Amino acid sequence: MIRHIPKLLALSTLLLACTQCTITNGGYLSDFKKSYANVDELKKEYPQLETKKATPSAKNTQPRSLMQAAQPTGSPYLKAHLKNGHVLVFTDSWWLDEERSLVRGSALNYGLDRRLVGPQDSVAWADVSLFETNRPLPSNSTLRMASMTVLFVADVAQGIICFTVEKACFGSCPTFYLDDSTDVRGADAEGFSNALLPSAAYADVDYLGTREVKNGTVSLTVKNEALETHVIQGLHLHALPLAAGEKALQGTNKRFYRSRQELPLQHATAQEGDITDWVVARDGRERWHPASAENLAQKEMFEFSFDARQWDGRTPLGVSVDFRQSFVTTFLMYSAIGYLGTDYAHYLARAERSPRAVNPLSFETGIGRALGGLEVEYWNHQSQEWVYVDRFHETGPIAINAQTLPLPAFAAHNGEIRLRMRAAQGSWRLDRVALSVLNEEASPILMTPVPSTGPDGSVPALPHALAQPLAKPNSPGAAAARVNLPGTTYLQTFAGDLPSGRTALFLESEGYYLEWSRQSWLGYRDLSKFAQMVYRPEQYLKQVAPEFKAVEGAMEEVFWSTKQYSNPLNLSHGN
Amino acid sequence: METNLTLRSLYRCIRPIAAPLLAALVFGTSSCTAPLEMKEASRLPMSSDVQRSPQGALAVVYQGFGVKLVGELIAVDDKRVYLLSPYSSSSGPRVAPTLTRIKRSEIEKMHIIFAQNNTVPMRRLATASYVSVFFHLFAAFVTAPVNLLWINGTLAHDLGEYRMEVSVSESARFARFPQGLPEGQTWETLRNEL
Repeated sequence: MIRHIPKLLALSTLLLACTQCTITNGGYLSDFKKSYANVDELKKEYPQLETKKATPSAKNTQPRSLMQAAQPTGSPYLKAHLKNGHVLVFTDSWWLDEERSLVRGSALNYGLDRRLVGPQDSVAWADVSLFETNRPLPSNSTLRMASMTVLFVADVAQGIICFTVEKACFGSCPTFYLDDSTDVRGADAEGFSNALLPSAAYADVDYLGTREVKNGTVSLTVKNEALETHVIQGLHLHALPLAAGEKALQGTNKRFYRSRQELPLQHATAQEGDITDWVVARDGRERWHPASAENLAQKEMFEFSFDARQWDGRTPLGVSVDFRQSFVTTFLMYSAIGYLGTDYAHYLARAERSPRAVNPLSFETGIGRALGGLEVEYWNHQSQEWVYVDRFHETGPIAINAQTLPLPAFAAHNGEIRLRMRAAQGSWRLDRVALSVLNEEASPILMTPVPSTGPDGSVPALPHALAQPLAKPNSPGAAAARVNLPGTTYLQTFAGDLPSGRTALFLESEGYYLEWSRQSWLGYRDLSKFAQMVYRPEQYLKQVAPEFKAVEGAMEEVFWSTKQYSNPLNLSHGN
Repeated sequence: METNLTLRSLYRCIRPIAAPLLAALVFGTSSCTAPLEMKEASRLPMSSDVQRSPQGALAVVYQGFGVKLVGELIAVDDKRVYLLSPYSSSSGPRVAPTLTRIKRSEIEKMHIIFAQNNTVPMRRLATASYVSVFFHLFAAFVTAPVNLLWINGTLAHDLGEYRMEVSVSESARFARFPQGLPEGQTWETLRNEL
């Protein structure tokens, strides 16, 4: 329902405005007022004018006999315009007294200037130059009241969601866009999501996709869509020109591969049953299941079987997964900041100084480890057991990661290869799972940043660090990194010595970011909870599960329905 | 720097809905009821009271070349239309009015506005909507302008309901003196009486 609220509101405003203009020219009002040049005309229409029976009222002191004579009484809305310019407005009942040639009733007499002269209970027909009757005005303010009510309800709904699930209304670490789209849900990459501190800076490689490259240049839109300070110490592209029928794969071992064959996925199952349709292709339809209400670390299993009859049995294989995180880690990270309250900045500074400081969301030591990644196992038919290989792990719920985990040499059984994955329920979205033949290892061509022309035609100077090869996180070059504050957007062009044609592109971004705390989070200060998060993450994940479940649906809805993303939608990172 | 960031953020937020917003802005602020008569019309009787109002309707007289006269329609005779400006309610405070004569032959078209709606409930809802925008956090970048347009579009055109285009002859019955100038009155004498 709230998915299209902003657009619906805007379109409705347009319709509303148009409707008003239509009403402007409505001629249906023209007969609410009728004029009668003399009493004979009024008499002629008199029966049709009756709108109600006369009933003596406290104000009406006329003798009943007179009222009877005039039954039924006329419309209460009669004006008698007198020859002298005065007007008598019969505010209550009125009737024609034919015997005395009078209009009788309870009237107010207004002078030429339309100031009240006083009450009057009759007027001679002869003194009247024009009678006028008025019917109650039709109104369609109901329509406008309805539209205002709709607006109000929509506003309140939006307010409730954003106010109660504030953590869902903020943004993400550096996002990169290869094409024209800058919709955060379609971000092609998000950089160094784990680097919450300068000392935690690292280089993150993300697959951007395959594009036709011309003139050896590629441009990316770089954005800061979050309430964060982004420090980009290095930004490069790795390009891999592809031959027909070839695919480029990014290994979890930081290597690149060329693949010319993919083994068909036969069957995929999860706790809800068959999920083959969800994961057979990268189509934006992701398999995701809500988290457990008892334990955010509760694991679920996926099983996959691949048709290996076309495989030669010798060329190495790799399991390729297109995936991203859900909002569990986002929620946990914001919770951690909230627990620290006003100590957040102090904690960051201490963590930066001390090598022993614990990152509560560290994938290696903290909650990240308890949640785990996408752990991959294969079925060894000989030993009749599942053999653990390694895990996928990439932080961030925005950009879909495409990575390949090389598998050890093993044999298919009856032309079938079976794999299994284990992951925290509700923490991961799977778009595609494939088994790729790793035909050869590849060496991509490095593309370095070059000055880009800004929207105003200017060519900004390239920060020193971006013009250099990737620096180590703590190298002197880091000091000259580009710092992007919330709202920053710019186009970055890369150039390299590569042939034109279909090319796979990988982005290497290096740096760190500082997450901003929010005023409203300070109210969540609870250092004991923070300690529990750090030192007893398994227990913490059980305790916090109901709290997360209470907002999980709204976080999903807000993210997938909103199209602001410049409202910084901080839906990323975790560890 | 901050202003620049805010503007850029605002631009990016609004960009996806820029077209309908722009259209709404154009339609919403166009002259279904233009500002000149808005002020005058705010003194018109409510739709529920107009039947008891002794005054004439508000007339908007277009004379071509963008010339527009607004005032209470006092009377229409064979040659002229009489307007009293500014419009004053019979019970409210008055400023010195001006009675204007306009030759019928110089009138391009006329609009009549004869009542205004009771917008108190709508204005209360509008206030509540504005207040609720404060709870939209960053989404207010989008919802605030939409609210502004929506509410203004609704309330500003309130008078549209009771406005219509009429010929000069038809307009007479909406005048303070639908019978024409009162007996014994001329423009010169009448303007001292009003």
